[in-house]
Amino acid sequence: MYESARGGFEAALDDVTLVCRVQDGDLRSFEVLVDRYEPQVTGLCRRMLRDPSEAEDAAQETFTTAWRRLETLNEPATFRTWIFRLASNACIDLIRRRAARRTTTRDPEELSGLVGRGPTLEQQAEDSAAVRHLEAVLDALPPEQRLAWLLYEVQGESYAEIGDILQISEGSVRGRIHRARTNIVRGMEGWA
Amino acid sequence: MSDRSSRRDPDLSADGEFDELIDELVETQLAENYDRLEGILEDYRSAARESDQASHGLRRRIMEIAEIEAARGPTVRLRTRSRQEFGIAAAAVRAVIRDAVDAMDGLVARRVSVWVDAEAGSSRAVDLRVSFAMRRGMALAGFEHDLRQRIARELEESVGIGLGRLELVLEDLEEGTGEHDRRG
Repeated sequence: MYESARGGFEAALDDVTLVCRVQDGDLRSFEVLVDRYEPQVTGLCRRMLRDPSEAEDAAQETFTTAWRRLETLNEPATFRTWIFRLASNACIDLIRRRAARRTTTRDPEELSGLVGRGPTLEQQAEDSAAVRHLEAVLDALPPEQRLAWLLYEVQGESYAEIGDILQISEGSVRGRIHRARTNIVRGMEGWA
Repeated sequence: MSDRSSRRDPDLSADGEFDELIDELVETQLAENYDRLEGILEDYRSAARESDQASHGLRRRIMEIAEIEAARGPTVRLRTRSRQEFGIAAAAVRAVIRDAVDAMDGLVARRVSVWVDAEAGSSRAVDLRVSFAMRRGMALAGFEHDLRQRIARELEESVGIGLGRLELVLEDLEEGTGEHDRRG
């Protein structure tokens, strides 16, 4: 059994050092990276997927993939971008698999009266009908738009950072966020 | 279907000013409507932040998978004096070396490469390449000898093997490295 790093020496190390050590197979350093990023990664997955168990699956896949592929990361300083890229890809893949199982899609303009897929942690924390309706509107956005919007509006990433995470141009990021906002305004008509 | 171009003033549409004006108005309206949602968006953000807490079950599952896979890592093949072969997990050797470097004030280990000089034949010793970060302002010459001795000692005491060649690589200078709680 490895010795847990929680609260220990590794917990104070920077990402670059931790990544180098994980590339050498250091479990304690990997545990610190998991502790450092798991809440944000799982949060992003939860908001993208709106299903707690699917979100945990996506987050688990994200970190196990990171563990297996970390040696391919040539620039340890880009770990943060890389881990959110893995999480984004895991979410988009899950959503595409879901979509393949469905035959109908929803139009963001036909959202009035849309009901969410069940209680989420956000709903438990904030019992607000407006927030629930916003979640339903977000749920109906194309996944790529929703992802860019969440990274910008909730996680506070810059256009450039989102471009790096999603591997698209800054202009494309702006376009996605703009279209997401347009759809949100339409879907939230009457709620402001 | 509405066709915006059918309502254009020919003089304006000629130079595109009408389109630009309409686009600008639409954008302004969109921005205003979006701004009006700010209260709801802030509620959503607050709820999101509150719910972003670590999941201990998830963390445990991730670490269990990593631990199982780490145990299947590469081994370093060595020979005893009686020419019996044995293997030692490279990760175990690296951990010993990392701890030895971390124990030096102002140093933090980064990467440890381990290999055996096949031509040496015998060998109860490993060659190492150790990269580390150092607190800015320290002098390499001031600790290099101690670091080499410490690594050799830890290797011998912890896993019973000797140190062959040791290459030290200063990879980075950091502010404040070494101010953390040391394991000793």
